[in-house]
Amino acid sequence: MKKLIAHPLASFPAIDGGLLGAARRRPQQTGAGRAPVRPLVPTVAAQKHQPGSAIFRSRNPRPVFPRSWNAHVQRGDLILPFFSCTNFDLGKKQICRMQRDQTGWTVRWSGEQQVAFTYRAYQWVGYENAKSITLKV
Amino acid sequence: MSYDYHGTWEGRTGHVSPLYPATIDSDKALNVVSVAPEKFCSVKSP
Repeated sequence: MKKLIAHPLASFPAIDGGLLGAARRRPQQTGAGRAPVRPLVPTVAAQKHQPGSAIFRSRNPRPVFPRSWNAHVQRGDLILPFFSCTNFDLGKKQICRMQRDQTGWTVRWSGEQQVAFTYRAYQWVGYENAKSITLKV
Repeated sequence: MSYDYHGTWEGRTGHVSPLYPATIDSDKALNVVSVAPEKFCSVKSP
């Protein structure tokens, strides 16, 4: 039977599964043969690929344009930087990129509020286009 | 030009500056049509 030696600076894999020890250790301190320690706080590179992140990157080399959005682009629809998506703001370039590079975005028009919005799964983005700006003016 | 009449402080997803109010809005006056004529005349807006 393996004997555990309790030490203030030692990790306790038998107790916490190594989580406490992994949190204390730095990734650079992991030796050869030991599994790399995943940082508790996601890195910036990891956050970029989260579905709800404000930073979108293309992962589809051949983007598929939604039919409605393609019609907007072909008509030269004016997109102004008045976007809001749940809890963060998007720039006009960001929303254009996510519409271009990510599939599944549905573009709709709110007849009640007379504004444009788009959604995909749990993500909702309201924005201004030429029609809504014209009505407001 | 319009301002943000709604935001994250409401804890609900929606357009920040709608032209007309929505049925789920708690304050029906927070939209471009209701606020703009009154506020812009009484308050010095940029």
